[in-house]
Amino acid sequence: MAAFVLKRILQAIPVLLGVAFITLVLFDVAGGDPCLTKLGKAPTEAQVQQCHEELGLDLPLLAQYTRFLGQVVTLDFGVSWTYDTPVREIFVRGIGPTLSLSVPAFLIGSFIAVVLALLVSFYRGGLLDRVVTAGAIAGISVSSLIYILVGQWLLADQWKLFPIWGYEYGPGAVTFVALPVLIWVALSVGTDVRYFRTVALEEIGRDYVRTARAKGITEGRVLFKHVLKNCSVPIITRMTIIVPFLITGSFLMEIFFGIPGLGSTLYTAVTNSDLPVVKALTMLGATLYVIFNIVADVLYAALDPRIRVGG
Amino acid sequence: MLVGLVACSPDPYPGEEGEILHLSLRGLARSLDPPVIGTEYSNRIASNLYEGLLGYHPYARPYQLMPVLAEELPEVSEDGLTYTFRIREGVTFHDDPCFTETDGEGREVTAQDFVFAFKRLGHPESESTGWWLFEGKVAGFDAWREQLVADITAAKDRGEEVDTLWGLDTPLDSVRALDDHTLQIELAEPYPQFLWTLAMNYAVVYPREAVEHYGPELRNHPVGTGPFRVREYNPVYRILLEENPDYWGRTVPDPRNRPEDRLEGWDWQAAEEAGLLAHAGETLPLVDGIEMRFILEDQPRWLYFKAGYLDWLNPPKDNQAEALQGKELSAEMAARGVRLTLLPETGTVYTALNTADPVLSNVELRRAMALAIDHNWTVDNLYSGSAAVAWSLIPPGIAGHEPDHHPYKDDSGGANLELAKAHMKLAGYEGGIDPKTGKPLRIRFENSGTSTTSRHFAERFRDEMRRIGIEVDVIVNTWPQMNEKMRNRDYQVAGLAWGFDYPDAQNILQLLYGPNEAPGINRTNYKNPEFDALYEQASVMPDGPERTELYARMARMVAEDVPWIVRVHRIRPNLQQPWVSGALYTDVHDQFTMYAALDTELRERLTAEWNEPVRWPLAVVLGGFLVMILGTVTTRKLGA
Repeated sequence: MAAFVLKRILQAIPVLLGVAFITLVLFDVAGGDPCLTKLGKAPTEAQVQQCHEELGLDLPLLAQYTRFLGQVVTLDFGVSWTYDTPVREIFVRGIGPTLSLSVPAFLIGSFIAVVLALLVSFYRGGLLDRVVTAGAIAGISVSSLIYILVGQWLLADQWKLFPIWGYEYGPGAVTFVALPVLIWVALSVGTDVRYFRTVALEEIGRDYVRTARAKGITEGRVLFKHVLKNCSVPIITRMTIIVPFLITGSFLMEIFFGIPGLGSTLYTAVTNSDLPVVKALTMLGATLYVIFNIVADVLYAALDPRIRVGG
Repeated sequence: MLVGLVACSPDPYPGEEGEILHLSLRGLARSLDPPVIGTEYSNRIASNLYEGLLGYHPYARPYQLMPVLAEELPEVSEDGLTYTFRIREGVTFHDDPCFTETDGEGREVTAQDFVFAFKRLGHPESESTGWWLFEGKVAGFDAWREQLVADITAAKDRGEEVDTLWGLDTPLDSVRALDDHTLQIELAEPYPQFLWTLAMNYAVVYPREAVEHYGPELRNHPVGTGPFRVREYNPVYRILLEENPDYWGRTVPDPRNRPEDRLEGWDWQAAEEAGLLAHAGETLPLVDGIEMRFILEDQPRWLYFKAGYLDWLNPPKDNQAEALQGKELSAEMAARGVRLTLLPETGTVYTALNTADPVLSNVELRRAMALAIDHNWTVDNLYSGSAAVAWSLIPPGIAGHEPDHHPYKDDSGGANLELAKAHMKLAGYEGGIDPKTGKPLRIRFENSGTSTTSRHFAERFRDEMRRIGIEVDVIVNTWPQMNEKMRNRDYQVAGLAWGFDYPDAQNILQLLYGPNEAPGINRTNYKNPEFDALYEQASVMPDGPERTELYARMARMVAEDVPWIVRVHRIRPNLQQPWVSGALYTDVHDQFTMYAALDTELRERLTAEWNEPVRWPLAVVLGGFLVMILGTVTTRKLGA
């Protein structure tokens, strides 16, 4: 198992080095002179030159790359141009609000998706199955922006059930994240139900389910103990891969509902050409994705030894 | 979950106490450290926290300056070079932990504080975006700064740590404190716009102690003398300002009872009739605090205003149809008692034609291109009516504006294709054919950003040029890419806009002054010796009809030579809730917010009325779903 993990980690290193290189080239070299963004309307030549030296833009590309790798390793991405604050502080400040939205949305959404998937697969072909499947297909066919715009307009503006926009740190956050959580759940449930339903249907058709029923075990116990347990490998794997997105946040949701998290930070950084933040978040996203892919592989291998042998 | 949903309250200000003005900003404030207060959003906040020698009168139109921390307007020497300000006595800085000697109690402002603040604006390490205020204008300041740059470079080479206080005490004779309450500034040459620049937030006063105490963190810890101070600041979410309890006592102008408040040229009776002087004579601030939320997206900002959670707003473009009917309020907004101000923006949107480009150096070609533009279409379709055709590069309301001289813009505001084609022929491109290639002339249009408006602007330009035979290649850039191209003169045509820093035509005419050519701010590299001579002449003239005439003549030259196709002046509608009074919105400065007063009882009553929750539809949907699940389960059990 240790060899398997080590192999996965070694495979990840060139991927991350490549991502770092592309990030650097994309933003510092191909995207125009970042100093012209930083210095306002009409900077003098001397100011531009000073800025080039500070950012290391006067160095050869390889030296810039080494410098950038140093920033990645020390997690020191400098100061944001939009907020004039160290990028590290922005992460610390943004992670709480992001998680206060994404974790409940993820947990509630996953719970509802699993329960619904088990129910519809168990009652396959019934009214509930047909309504949920049709709803899921319709749901995933609609853009997330539409969910947000319509959800905000209908539930907050027309029906006045939630605040339109805003956030409070601490327990008060519940009121403000309720609507975005609800929309996030609605957005994610469709895809998850369809996937989990397929997984559960495969399990429900197996011999051990028939045997359990023949032994007189209640339907609930068959469904939530035996079937769910055997469905857990693909479900856990799928959930693990989603984790990086919970951390980097949903920029649309955060911007539209005023959640001051990492997603909205990324959005404002991109729209303001705030390269230190964009580069840091790009690297964070890529690194988390690689790490949680490894975690998913490891979990998969731990739960199913055949993977380990094959991998 | 259902209980949780039903228990939610739509009120986005739970637990708020006192009379708090609710505002929004559609962008983030970059920094509140005065030398880098350059963005619209930083300015909106900073104007309530800091003050300078002079400020804008809140109601006078055309705009007028008034003394703020100066006792009166300065004494100016006959040669126009020496300005002497008497500083108001008894004004103190906000209480702040940076005042360690007085246990946090703000000390009195002196003339030395202004000397400190002005020198720090020119300090190379402050990375100031406002150095242009003094650059080349204050005697000896450039040399002082250059020497400091050299000293700092040497210090850095020695491995010394350098901050924005390093070397700041190096004497600068031209900015001097004659005593604690007298400040004198000596200019290199007459600069009549100098007083306007002193009303900007770059020129405010703040204490040296704050810089020493907070260092770079000053950006988040402003310490000024304004009517408000910061109570809570989350740079990505909101800023909450509270009343400065030790404010020195600026009052709302009271021209009826105080003759000294009757500024020359200000129709104060009209302001009184408009209800702006309801709080005349009262001491600022008129509210307990201001909360500004950074709402970047249009929909939530508009819905917030509609629900009564914002006290005023410039409605987003996509919501203007709901807010307005033509140039009047919509029936819904009028019924709510909302008030509308239609404010022409003090700025100009233009298409820049690079006169240094071999093709576009042809003036007849530039004239042909200008004639091919249908400005009415632009106003109606690209701005949904929220703009006016720009007849001059100098906007209405600014001295030098002349709506009647526009030789290469049809009187109707539409395109004049016949004349445009005639000019194409004069330019040597008959029918749009480039004689060198025998094919249609191709021109590059540089576009920055991916917003719908900017994309439509570019597409429309391509279509309009095609009508006179020119093929346009639209190139999409990031702003830095486009900026770099313009600095390197490596472009042909670009879509740009300029917003005035102060209401004087010199501010926009400097963009066409020859010596300011790229990499300077003259991005079209327009060079006309006659224009340059007039610009130099006007630059040292005091305000008056003679200077206005020079401005008008320069604008006429630009209209003849067409380095810019002057397009539109945007119009910003401003909506104010019925419970707000006293604040006359403008985009030129941000010093009107502190004059706002609230009727909070009316606000509470109306917002409660407008936001009564409707819970039954949600209960129906969720109930129906539960019934379906239960029904399915029960049926299956019964059937099994």
